[in-house]
Amino acid sequence: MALAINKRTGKSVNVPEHYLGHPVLGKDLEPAGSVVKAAPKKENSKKFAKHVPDAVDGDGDGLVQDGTIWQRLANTKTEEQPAPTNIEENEE
Amino acid sequence: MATKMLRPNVGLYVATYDAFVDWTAPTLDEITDAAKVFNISPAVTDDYTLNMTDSESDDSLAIVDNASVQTPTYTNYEASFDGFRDENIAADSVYNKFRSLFAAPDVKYYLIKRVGKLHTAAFAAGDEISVYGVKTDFPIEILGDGEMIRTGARFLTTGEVRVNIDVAAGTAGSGPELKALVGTKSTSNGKIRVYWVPSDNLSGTEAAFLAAPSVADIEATGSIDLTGAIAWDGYDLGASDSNKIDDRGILDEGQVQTRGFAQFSGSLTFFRGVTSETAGAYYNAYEAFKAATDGSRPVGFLVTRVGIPAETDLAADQEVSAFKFIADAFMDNTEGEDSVKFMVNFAPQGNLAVNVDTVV
Repeated sequence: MALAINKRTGKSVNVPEHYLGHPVLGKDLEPAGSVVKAAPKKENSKKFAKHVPDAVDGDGDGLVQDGTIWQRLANTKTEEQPAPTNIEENEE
Repeated sequence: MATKMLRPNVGLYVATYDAFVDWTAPTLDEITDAAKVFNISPAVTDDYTLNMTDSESDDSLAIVDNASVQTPTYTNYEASFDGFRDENIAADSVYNKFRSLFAAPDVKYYLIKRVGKLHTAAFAAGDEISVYGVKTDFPIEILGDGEMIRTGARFLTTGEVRVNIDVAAGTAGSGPELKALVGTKSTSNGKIRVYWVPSDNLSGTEAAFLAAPSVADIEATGSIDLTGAIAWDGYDLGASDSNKIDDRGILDEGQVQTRGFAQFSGSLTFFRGVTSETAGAYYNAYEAFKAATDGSRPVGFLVTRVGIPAETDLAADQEVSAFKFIADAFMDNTEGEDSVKFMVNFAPQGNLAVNVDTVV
């Protein structure tokens, strides 16, 4: 048994394997594997997360900002680098 | 001296549901209304059924009874006509009138029988007739090797029955209508085509296909014209009587039936081609149904066209019937002196359409 797609109607169907390639029974049939598109790649949502310096471990799992690129242990302190006050100093 | 009445002193007529003001007392002007009462006698085969049967009965005993008791309660009757199919499907004939009257299910009629006069004899006040109320069931095609094609009109009873009642006085009209042309009987041989249309080959929905079968889908690659491969031996395909459900109201004095599930069946015997064949009707039929145990179980529609010469191309506006099946058992038939065949049983899948017109 094989899963096929009818190219004329777009419908998928289980058929005996010998249908595929048969001049009458399988002329419009194509093995489903050759035409099924891969699922679209999911965008990684982590890069859109915003850093929260004083995040709280709401679910008590020992982690804060779970599932984001900022995920870290609850006790870990992170600090944002302060923006330079005098931009000209960094231009050297 | 008493004289026996001989054939053919009987006539069968069909009246529309609104033909009578009071169906228990038809008047002469009503029963001779050519627009509402039709003479179908020449189309009906001799083995018709239109009669009362034994009434239902109650067997309650009184304490003084010394033997069994059966007291009739409500009346029973049955009706079923087989009518010849006209070779010319366009002719204005009695055969085609019969077919058109009973082509669709759930149409109410009064069937009328008159015994004692030729069917062509004009009605007169005082003629004794019997009136049976019916609703149509799906018609069935009756086919057979060397037999005429017949349309089997099947009926459900409405509980309205009166036998041997007089036609009341009135002014006679020109009816019942009797077509001038009787028709030409049509043989089954060479007048059937059968197609297999897999469900995945339908370009639209199954409901749309059943309402108006598409010639394009029937003839598309992947669908098969099975006609050339089918043997008469074991041919069984089509609708049969629907389930008849007793459904009386408190006012009903006769048997009232409601149409239950439609019934249809399919079993076809195919010729087996020689092993070296890799094309043709025998080969295609075998290839389509040989894999009965791999789990794929082909699902589709067996579409039949009856009454049109098989060599006529399928086209729009031709009457066909379609039955949804799943292919089931595959059985070799190698016995006897005839050619090797195989039989495929098809299991019904709950959807059918009878006598619907094809579309392009």
